[in-house]
Amino acid sequence: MQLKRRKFIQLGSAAGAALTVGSQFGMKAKASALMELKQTGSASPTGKKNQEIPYTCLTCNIEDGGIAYVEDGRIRRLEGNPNHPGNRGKLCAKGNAGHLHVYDPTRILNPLKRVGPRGSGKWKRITWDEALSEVAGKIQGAMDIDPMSVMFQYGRNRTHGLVYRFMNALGSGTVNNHTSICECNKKVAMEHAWGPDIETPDFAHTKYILNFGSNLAEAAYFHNPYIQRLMDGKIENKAKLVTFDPRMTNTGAISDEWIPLKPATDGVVALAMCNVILQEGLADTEFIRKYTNVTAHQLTEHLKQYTPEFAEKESGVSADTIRRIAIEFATAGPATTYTYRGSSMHQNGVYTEKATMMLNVVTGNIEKRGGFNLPRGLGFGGGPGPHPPKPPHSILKYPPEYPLASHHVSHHVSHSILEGRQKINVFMLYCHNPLYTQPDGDTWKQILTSEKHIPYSVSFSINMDDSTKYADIILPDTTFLERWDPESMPSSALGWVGLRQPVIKPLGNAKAFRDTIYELAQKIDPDGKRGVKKYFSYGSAESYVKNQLEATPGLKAAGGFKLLKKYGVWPFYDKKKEDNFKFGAHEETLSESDLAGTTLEGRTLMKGGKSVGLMVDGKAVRGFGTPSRTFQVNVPEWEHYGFEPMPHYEAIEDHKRMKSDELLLSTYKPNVHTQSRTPNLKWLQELHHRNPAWINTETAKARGIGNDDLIRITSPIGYMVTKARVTEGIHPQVVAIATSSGMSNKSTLGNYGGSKDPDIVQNTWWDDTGVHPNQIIPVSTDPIGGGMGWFDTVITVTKAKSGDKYGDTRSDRGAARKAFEKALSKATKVRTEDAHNTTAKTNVRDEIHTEVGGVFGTTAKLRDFEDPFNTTA
Amino acid sequence: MSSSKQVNVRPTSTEMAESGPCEAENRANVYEFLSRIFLEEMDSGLLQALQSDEVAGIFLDWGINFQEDLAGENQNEILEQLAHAYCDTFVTGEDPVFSPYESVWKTGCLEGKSTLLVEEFYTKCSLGLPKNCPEFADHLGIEFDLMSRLAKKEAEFRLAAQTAQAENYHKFQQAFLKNHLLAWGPEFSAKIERWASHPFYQHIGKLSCEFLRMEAEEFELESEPYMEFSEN
Repeated sequence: MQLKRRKFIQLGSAAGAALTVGSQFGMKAKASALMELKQTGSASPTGKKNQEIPYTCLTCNIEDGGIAYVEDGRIRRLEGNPNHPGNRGKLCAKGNAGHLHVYDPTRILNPLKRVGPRGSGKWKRITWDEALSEVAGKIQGAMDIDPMSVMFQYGRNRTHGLVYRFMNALGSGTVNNHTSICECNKKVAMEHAWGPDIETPDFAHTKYILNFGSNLAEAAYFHNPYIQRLMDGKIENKAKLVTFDPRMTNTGAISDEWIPLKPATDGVVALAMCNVILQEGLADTEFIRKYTNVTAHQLTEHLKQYTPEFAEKESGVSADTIRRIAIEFATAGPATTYTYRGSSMHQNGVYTEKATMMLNVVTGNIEKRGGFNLPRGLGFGGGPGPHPPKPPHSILKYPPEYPLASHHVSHHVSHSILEGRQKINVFMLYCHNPLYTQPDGDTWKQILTSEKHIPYSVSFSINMDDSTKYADIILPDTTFLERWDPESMPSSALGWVGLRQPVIKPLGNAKAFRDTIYELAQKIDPDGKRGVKKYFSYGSAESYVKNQLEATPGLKAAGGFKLLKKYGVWPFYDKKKEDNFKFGAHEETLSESDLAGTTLEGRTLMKGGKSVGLMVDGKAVRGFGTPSRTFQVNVPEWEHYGFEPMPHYEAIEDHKRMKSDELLLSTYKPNVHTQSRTPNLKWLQELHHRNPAWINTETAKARGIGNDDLIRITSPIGYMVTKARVTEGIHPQVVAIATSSGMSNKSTLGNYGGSKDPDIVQNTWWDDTGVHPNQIIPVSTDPIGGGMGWFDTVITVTKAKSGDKYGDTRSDRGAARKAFEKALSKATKVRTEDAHNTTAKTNVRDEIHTEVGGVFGTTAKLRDFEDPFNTTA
Repeated sequence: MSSSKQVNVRPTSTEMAESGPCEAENRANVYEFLSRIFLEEMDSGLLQALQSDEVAGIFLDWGINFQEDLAGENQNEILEQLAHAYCDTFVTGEDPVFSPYESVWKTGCLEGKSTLLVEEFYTKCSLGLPKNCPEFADHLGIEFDLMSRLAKKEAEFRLAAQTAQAENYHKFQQAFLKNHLLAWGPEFSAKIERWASHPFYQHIGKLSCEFLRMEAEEFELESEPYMEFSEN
């Protein structure tokens, strides 16, 4: 029925009457006031003046420096910060699209309370006061029962200590990160070998780069700064790049040689090369003698078992190729390896990482121009005092079966909660989407939907991701362009500290996590009787971050926080300094004051119960950040827990038993996406939105599979139906699927209904948004590092069966449970049901991080940090 | 209901600009009512008013039975249900098809050029954005608020027999309708009518859509054709 105007206008009187009792604009004003922004006066295409505000990017976790161009309070565009020593004025595609996070139409701009069953999508908008009061009440209740039952699970946490300040103040050590699904095996291997958990290769001045499974041109650490230096090295220094990777990545494409190998065999290839180098007399035996804890003879004898022929049998790389590349690497001049998740996130990842590091050790390419070097970050302080004491660690954080897993075992958490290993009363999720990014996503769904296992859950999120939609309450977070953080990353030879500052006011009623936590602490402990409030008396987020950054030596004299607000980073990029950087940190002579009060234990100089230096040919030097101050080729801690202390290769059990028709499933991050946070960004979604499974031409042919055919991929815990991309660019025994596609969030389709957005109306030429693989990937774990064996899943691939539809994904909870138990069965046998009995584990870990602080000169107060650089990607 | 709000409608569009102050005032009231409904959840006072025979009776003429939509024994429960429905329809953002922002419809992003243009329009008309405004300026509720305030100004000047000023505010309304509201408001409202989870909001969508259609006729403007929602 069409309404008649004459009648309709009568509504005016009725509406007027109704409104006399209704209030308008009663909602609270926007969340918070903002810093005063500077006006530098650059012109925009509109002719208006733009503010140029430096910030630190967080679209991914490289932490590049950027400049936001802001006009009328809105971000017009983002560019790289030319002063930044890491990215030198360049942003990647993700960084350029970062502001679309701010203006994402699916952003949550108000606190939401669940009003239907979990996952029903039924919500009610509530005020911040109501939201914080409710969450505070739940936390108070949980604290009264057992503070450890308050759990915090985070993903991309760049608060640098705030999460731990909060949880420590509550008295809960039940905090989990996501490092075990990222690169923790690499970290654990490196920490035991030389101290820090990452390297800073000098790509620009090297002659040879051996890349094991890292995709530096697209997504690996630190892809933007490093690929620039790597190309400098290739072009200006004629460096050779050799990439071992089952998949032809863009890094493979720019390599001089791309060598596809069977997954999880990088380690044996590296050890065979070390063997060749030692056998051929090409090793730097002086470095081994001076700075490691083995002799060249011991190492030579040990590595004899890893012949090129054995490595060929395991990896598929010919013995001749292994010999040739080994000799090239050892004789090229300065050389370096590089690795990240590709080689390390296997069940044998810790051994593999150690093996690839050994190539640098035997050739003496550690800490030298053009070599494989210690990281150069700058540290900062732990924030304003007082600092809460550390509570006991949770069994969910440090399961005792993994005594060396110093970066948590987060992918076990869902199963551990399910089996009631630790009671959880309040579960908080911050910048993490475990249902999507963790393996065996269905088990996460099981616990997130279960009020028995998780009675109350809170999500701090900017949008309704696959996991947030199961929360009981959502506290809308701000994007990285609306918040404060200190930053530092070892992304270049020149260490730097940077500032992330809000370039605009938070949109809507979104509130920065720092502010939310501060206000929540006041609500939990209004009168101070719970002992929480005193740790949250520092005032604003800005003052907290200022306090942290101004603890960096030299910064105050250079201009302090004011300088960082103006330029975003300190010190500034200086090509001459980078080109003439002095290496050899391990050779640095100890001063008289360093030596005062030291005692000698073997070659190790001890002071106050800690190792501080190493005696080398009668000279006291700093050495490496290990308990012995040597580069630990032999790791006694590993032997203590029943692992192989010397460089070692161990084939994956499941891979040994593979049948002829079975394949291995690999996943990867495409160049324009992160794991889960970027599919909402329409520019990036247009560039990459679907993820067909890469399958080798011959492999596909044998199965009657053609390009774009529907295929069924079956794993031990389920199956998925997707499309095939038939290509020569993949190892015949491997199928690879990109992550970042197949999210449930509808905006990833660019589906804005009747939107007139020309990008959607005219340019949305796709309707395929992919199928996500993680639900069929079972839990599997490196028993040393505690990291997920992401690339170890044995699968079968067939043409789709009758009735299969694109996107079908099924997982079997019983099979998923068996897979978890299988992973546990390979761990050390020290299971305990005492949730707080993780003391031994904690000591190992704390000792390592204390050492890390010393070795590369950071002044960071590590007591508040879980991870000096928090380099998890 | 005060006698000053009695209806006095002129039937033809050509005479609209010369119509008395009540026409503009009534239009202002409709806009203000819709603005209030779109911007915030229902409160008890407004609920009671809409349930009353006096107010609900007027809507019955259009086949809209707010008394039925808003029936229930417990007022708090009704308010709670309406708050959930409001959130489903306008807030959660999981499905941006209901995004109540002009910028999202035009550019796929929050706080785009439309937001700025609406802010500028407020300034151009010598009106400030509402104090403590909880939303972006291109939220449908804020755009309705602007129209309400412009129509009120027109009514004030007509009452004071200041025809030129009244005409000026009439033209502002015409321009705003043309450049903003009619470009997306009818289509958005039609979607609400079809897809809102509560009959009250479905009917609000219908009212909004029809009112804007009639405004287009009266201002001799074209509204964007309603495009059927695609389920693909």
